[in-house]
Amino acid sequence: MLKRIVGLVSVCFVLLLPVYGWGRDGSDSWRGLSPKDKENVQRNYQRWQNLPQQDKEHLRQEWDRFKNLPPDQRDKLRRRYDEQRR
Amino acid sequence: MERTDALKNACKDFEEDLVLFYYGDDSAADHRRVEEHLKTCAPCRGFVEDLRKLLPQMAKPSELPQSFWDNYYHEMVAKLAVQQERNSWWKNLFVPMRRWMLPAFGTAGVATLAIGLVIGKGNWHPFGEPREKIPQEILADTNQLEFFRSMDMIETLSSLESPDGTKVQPGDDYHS
Repeated sequence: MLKRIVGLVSVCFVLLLPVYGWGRDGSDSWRGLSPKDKENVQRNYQRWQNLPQQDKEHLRQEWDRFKNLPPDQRDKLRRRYDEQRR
Repeated sequence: MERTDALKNACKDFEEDLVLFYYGDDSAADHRRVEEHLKTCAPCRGFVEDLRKLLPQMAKPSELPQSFWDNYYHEMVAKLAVQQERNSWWKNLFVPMRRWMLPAFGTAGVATLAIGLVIGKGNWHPFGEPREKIPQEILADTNQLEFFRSMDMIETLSSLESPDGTKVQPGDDYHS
């Protein structure tokens, strides 16, 4: 009986692992951000909510395009952006 | 004493075979061989005779009087009744629930944990960290978080690409 209960509990935990992993995914990344980055993310999110639908779609397309760029090109664009901000 | 003498007199090579012969545990060939030997060997015949006389007495079960078995029976019945009475009150309490209780509580526990994880996604701080109000849309996955983090840059992506004409299409094999 005890063996069966332990088995059932183990199966339940194994089944819950993906859910737990998914639950931790975003929050772990969030915790890894600096306070400045967190503030930036929240500000951008607020801005995003107020954007018109077409701008949202455009930004999504640009983001997808950026993600599909070669890594060295992405780095170059990030560097250029950082330089422009200074 | 008689038996000891008989053992002494039996042929050494046949002692073991004679015991097996007596119990009928030997092979057919050995049985025939011992039978042949017994025809010609008086000490071995005496040995087998002793086995026939002594062994049944040694293994004789002691006969117990009927009163013993009657008492034994009544005692066992009384013990079983006491045991049954002792177990029944609390066992019967759970009998109707026993079949569904374990899977039901198990399912409820797993469901609660899963719902808790999904609803409290990213906002669970077991060690008393200050709670931050983070929209779920941001924490949906790392891609979302990265999107909002890079949103400023994404808005200027075209202008970032244009100054030196490095605008490339996805999948292009670009080398700077």
